[in-house]
Amino acid sequence: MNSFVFTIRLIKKRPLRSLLTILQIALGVWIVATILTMNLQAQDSINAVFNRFGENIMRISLQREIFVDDNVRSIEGTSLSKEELMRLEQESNHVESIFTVEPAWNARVRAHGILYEVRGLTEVSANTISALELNILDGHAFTVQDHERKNQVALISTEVSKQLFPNDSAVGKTIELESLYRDEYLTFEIIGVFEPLDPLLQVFFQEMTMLIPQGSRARTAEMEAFPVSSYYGNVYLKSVPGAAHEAIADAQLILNRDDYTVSAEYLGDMGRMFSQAIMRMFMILGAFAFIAIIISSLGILSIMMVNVVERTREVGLRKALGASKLSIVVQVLYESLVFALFGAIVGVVGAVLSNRYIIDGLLKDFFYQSMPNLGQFHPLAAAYSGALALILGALFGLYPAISAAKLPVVDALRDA
Amino acid sequence: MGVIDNIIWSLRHCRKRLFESILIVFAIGLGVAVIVSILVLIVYFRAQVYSSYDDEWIRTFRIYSAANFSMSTGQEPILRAVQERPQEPLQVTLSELKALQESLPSGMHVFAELRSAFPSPLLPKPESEADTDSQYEFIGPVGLSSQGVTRIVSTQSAAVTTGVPVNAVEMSLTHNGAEEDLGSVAPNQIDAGTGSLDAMVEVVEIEVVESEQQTESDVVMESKSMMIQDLWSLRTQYEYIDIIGTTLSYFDFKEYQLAKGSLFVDDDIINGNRVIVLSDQLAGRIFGETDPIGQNIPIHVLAGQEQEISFTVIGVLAPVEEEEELYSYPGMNRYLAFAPFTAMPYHAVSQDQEVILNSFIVGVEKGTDLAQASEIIQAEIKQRYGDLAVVSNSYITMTSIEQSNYAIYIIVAIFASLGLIIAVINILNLMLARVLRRTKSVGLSMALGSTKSAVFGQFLLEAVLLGLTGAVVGTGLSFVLLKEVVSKLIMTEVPLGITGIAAGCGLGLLVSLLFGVYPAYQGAIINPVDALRNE
Repeated sequence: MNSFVFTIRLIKKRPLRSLLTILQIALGVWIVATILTMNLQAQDSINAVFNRFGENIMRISLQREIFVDDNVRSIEGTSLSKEELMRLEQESNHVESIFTVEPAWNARVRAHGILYEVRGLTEVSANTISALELNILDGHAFTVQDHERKNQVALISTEVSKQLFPNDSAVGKTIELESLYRDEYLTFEIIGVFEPLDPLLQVFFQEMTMLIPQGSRARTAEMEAFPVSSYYGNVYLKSVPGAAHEAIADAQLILNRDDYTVSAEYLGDMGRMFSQAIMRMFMILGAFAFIAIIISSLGILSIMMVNVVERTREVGLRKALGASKLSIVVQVLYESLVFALFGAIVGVVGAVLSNRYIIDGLLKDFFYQSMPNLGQFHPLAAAYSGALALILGALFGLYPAISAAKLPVVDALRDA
Repeated sequence: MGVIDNIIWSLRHCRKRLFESILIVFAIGLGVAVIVSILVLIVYFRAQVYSSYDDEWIRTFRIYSAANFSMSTGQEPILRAVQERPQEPLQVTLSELKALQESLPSGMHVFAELRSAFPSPLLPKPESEADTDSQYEFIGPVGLSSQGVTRIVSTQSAAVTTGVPVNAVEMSLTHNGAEEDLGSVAPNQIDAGTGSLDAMVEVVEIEVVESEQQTESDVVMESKSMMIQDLWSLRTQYEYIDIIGTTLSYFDFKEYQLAKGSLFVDDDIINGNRVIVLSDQLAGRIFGETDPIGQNIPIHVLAGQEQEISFTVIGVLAPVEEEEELYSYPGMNRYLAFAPFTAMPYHAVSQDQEVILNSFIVGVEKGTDLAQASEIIQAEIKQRYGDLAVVSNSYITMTSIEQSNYAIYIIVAIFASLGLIIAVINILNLMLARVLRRTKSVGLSMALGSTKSAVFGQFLLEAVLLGLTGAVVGTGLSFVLLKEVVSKLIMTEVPLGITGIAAGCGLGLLVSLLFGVYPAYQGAIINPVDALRNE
C-alpha cells in the first residue's frame, strides 16, 4: 500500500507527462476493447442461434450439371413436387420434417384502406412454424388443413402488428393481400402474432414478417388450371438430431430423379461461414489494434527510461542506504503497472461508453441488421483488454526497471 | 550554423540517447505503417468499386412498365405506404423512342432489347460430343455412420448418345490417395430414347471399412468409362442461336463495328422484316469462308407447335473482344445475332400495326458521370411517362452498398489513425522530457548568444528528423504488412504504390511537426538565468 501511495506521488510529480502516458495506454486499450467487444458479441450471437438448430436444418435442392460448351459447365436446378416432399417425409427415418419457405417479393397489402408494400411476406408450409420453433405470442399457428386447402389466413410478426394495429390485438382482424396475378386483392384473416425470427436466421431462410400458407395467394380457379403452385423451389429439411448426412442420402434414394442429385446447404455451414468472415475482419482490425497497444506500451517503456535516467540520483541514494536491487526493480515496475492500470481503466470505461455509438453508428448497415447487439458491453472484452494492458505494462516496464537496478551507486551519486 | 551543421548537431543529440530515439522512430514507424496500409487498402477497394462503373450492366438503365414491375433494394421499412399500380401498361411507340433519343444528351443511347435463344438446323451438334472416351467424375453423397463404417449410397444415371452400348460401369474408390477397385456395376436399365440410349446406373450401398484417421472428405467415388450427356442438349440435336431483337442505337451503345454488309434500317423495324446481323463467331461457325450476306438462317420456334422460320443475313459484325465483367460468364455471347425487335418470333404486333414497346433501355457510354446520367434519365422518363414507367438500374443500389462500405472505411480509418495518435503522444512526451533534461545546456547556449528561434529550430529539427526516419521505417513496414499479412487475409495482392509512399512520408513529417512544436516552444522560453542557476 505504501509503495502504491509512493508511486502515485511520483506520478503526480510530472502531471503532464503522466497524463499523456495514461492517455496513450487508454487509447490502446480502448481500441482493443472495442474490437474485442465486436468480435465476442458477434461470435456469441452466431453461436446462440446456430447451436440451437445445430446441424439439423438444411436447404435441399435437386441439381445437375449441364454442358453449355466443351469447357463451360453450369448447374441447373429443378423444383420438387408436393408428392415428392410428402414421400420424403414419410419414407425416411432420418427426416424429421420437410418444410418450405417461399418469399413473395414486393407483395402489397391493404389495411385500413391504406396500400402498403410489405417486406418479408412469406409463403410457408404448416410445419415451418414448428420446425423453426417460432414463438406464437397471440392467437394460434396454421393447421395442416390451412396449408392443404390454401386457406386465406395470415400470421404477422410483432413488428407488423405494432405498425398496423398499434393499440389492439391483431388476431381476428382482416387484411387484403394482392393475389399472385396482381389484379385483385384477397381477404386474409390474421390468426396469430409471432415473435420475429432471429435476424441471423432470416439471412438463411428469408426475412419473415408476415406468413401465409403456401399457395394461398393464388385464386382457386387459376390454381386448378395451373398446378404450378404445388411445386416447391425453397425446400428445407430438418433431420433427426445427428443424422443430417443420412437424411440427405435417403433423400437421394427416395427422390431418385433421373440425373439430378440432391444438394444440401447446411445452416451450420452458414454459421461457420459467418464466424469465419467475422474472424477475418477481427484479425485485420485486431492486427491494427494490437500494433496500437504495442505502440502505447512502447510509450511506457520510453517514458520509464526517461524517468529512471532523471531519477538516477535518487536511485543511487536509495542503493547507498541499503536498498536491494529487487526493491528498485519492484519500485520501477510498480510505476509502469500503475500507468497501465490507470490506462486500462480509462480505456475500458471509454470503450463501454463509446461502443454503442462507434459500432452501432458506423456498422449499422454492415452487420447491424443481422446482429443488433454488437455494441453491448462484453465483460470478457473488458477483462482481456485490461489484462493485456497490464501484462504489456509489466513486460515493457521490466527493461527500465532492470536498468535502474543495475546503475552503479558511485556513478549514480556522482552524476549530474 | 548552416543547415547541414544543424542536422549533424541534431543527429548527435539523437545518438546521445540512442535507445530513446530508436523507440521514438519505432513507434512512429508502426503508427505510419498501420495508417498507410489502411489508406492503401481503402484506396484499392474504392478503385475496385469505381472500375465496375465501366461495366455494361451498370451503365444500362432499364425502363419498365410500372403496371407489372416494382423495385426493391431490400432496405425499405417492413411496411411502406405506396400508390396503387397504374392499370394500363407502358406503351412506347417507335417515334417516341426516337424523340426521347433526341432530347437526351449525346452519349446516351435509347434502344429495345429482346433476347431469346432458338435452335438452328445450321448448327448441328459437333461429333465430339458423342465421344465415348470422355470421363465423368461424381461424388456421391457420403454418409458416416458411428461404427466407423462408411456407407456410400448413390444413384447416378447417364444418358448415352446414339449407339453406344453401356455394359458396365467401372467403380473405383480413392481412399487416402490410393485407388481401390470396386469392380463393375451393370446398368439395370437401358432405354431407347429419341436418337439416344438412356442408361440408368444404380449403385446401392457400397460398404467400405474405413481406417481410423480417415475423414469424410477423403472418400471420393469415381465412375469411369461412362459418358454423361445432359438431357438439355438431347432435346434438340441443334445448338442455339441467341437472337437479340433491337433497334439501331444498340450498335452505338455496344460500339459494334460492321465487317461486312449493312445494318438494318428503320423500315426493317417498322415492317418487322426478318433480316439478321451475325456476330463474327456465329458467321464463322455457320459459313466458314463463304460470304454469308444474302444467305438464310433458319431457326426452330415453338409457337403452339414446332415451326421453322428464316432470317436473311444482311451483315456481319467485326470481331469484338469480350470484356470480363461481374455478370458475364464465358460462352455467354457465343452465337449472337441481331434482328429488328419487331421481327422476333414471339413479338406480338399490336392491332393498329403500330410498333409498340413495353420496355426499353437507355444505355450510357463509358466514362459518363453516372449520378448525373441517372438523374437526367429519371427526370426525362418521369416527365414523359409519369407513373407508368419505372427506371431500374444497378447504380442506385451500388451507391447504397458503397455508403455502407463507407462506414467501414471510416471505422477502420479511425482505428488505424489511433496507432499514429498514440505514437504522436509518445513523441510529445519524450521530446518534453528531452527539453527538460537539456535545460542547462540550452541555458548555456542562450547565455553565449544563441537566439530563441535558433533553440526552437534546433528542437523542432530533432523532432522532424525522428519523425521522418520513423516515416521511412513505417513505409517499409507497411510494404511488408501489405504483402505478408493483408494480402493473405483478403486474398488479393494490394500494391503499396507511389501514393502510399508519399502518404507515409507526408504523415511522418506532419505529425512530427505538429508534436515537435510544443516541446520546442518549451525549450525556447527557457530563461538562461534560471537554467544556469538550477542545480
